[in-house]
Amino acid sequence: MRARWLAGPLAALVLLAAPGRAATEDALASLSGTWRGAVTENGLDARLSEVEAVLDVGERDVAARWSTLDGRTAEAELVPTARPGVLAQPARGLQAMLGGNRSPNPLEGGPLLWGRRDGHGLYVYRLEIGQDGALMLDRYGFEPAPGGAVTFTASRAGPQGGELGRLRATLTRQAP
Amino acid sequence: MSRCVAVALAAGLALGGTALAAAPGGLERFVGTYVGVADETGAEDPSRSRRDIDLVISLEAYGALRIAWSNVTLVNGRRDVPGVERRVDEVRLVPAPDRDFYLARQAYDPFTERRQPDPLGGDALRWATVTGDTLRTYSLAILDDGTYELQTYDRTLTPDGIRLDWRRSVDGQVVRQATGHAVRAE
Repeated sequence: MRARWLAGPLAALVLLAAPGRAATEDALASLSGTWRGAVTENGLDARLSEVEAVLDVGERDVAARWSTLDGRTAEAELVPTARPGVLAQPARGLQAMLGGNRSPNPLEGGPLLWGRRDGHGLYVYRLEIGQDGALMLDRYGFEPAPGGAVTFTASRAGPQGGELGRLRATLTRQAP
Repeated sequence: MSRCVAVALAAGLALGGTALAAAPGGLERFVGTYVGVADETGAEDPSRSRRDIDLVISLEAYGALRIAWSNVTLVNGRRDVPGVERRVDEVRLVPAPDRDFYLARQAYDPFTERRQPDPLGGDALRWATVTGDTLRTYSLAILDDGTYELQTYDRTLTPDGIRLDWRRSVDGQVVRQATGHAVRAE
């Protein structure tokens, strides 16, 4: 009862905070759609001149298909993990039946994909450890840009962790 | 003891000795005790950028390698003043099954359950490679915010010891780096 005088200011604080968070989620939701654009910067000498992407960014889950640095197309469905900042591919089939939320282990072969989302955009990572132990780690970013466009960035980690370079493209919407 | 048992024992010992001596990838070249120094580049506190390095690399059974090291962070180049820090750590490299690199494991703790790493849960992936004269260990972890931290530690053989190159990067940006040299101790 003594604290009733706090109710008004607290309610105002909640209202002030909520729009900020909603604006971020709106910006990420605006990434949803079919996109295409030419590469504008190629600091990796990648065999990629045009980027295509199809994104479906929900409040929690993300589905993405995009052009990779190797000139192929990658697809991923990402859902929240026990760590809210980390998105991962959901367990399927036998792994899911056995209650396995265990992530793939790149040390045994095969890639590991994960993602994150923040106030700037959506980012998807692909990690693979080669047969000889070589590190192969790419990061793909999708960020809302002025005029309703999307800035696409792709980077590759060097053998000692620093970026080898970046590739950028400005994507325009082809379909909702 | 019967002659047959004696022969079998001798054969077993010989095989064990072979397992100790013939580490895949020439890891035995790195075996030794080394002492030296390393300097952190661009350290936030330049008075604490130098470290004394004490490194012991030894062979273990079945082609494994044990790397144990201690770092003493000096204060203005001294280790006999308040503020110095000493860190001790070790790692065991074991050949990865069906792969041409090594798994890097923390020191064996019989009270800790051995389980597969869970990188999405925050466990670090640790492995090592040998390329020419360089033994490189990797530690990669996905952080709570979804970015990643990668630490690499190169130990490269030189005529009188080992050159050291350590880097820590976050999401592709190198945030800390140290280089140094350690000589083989008598």
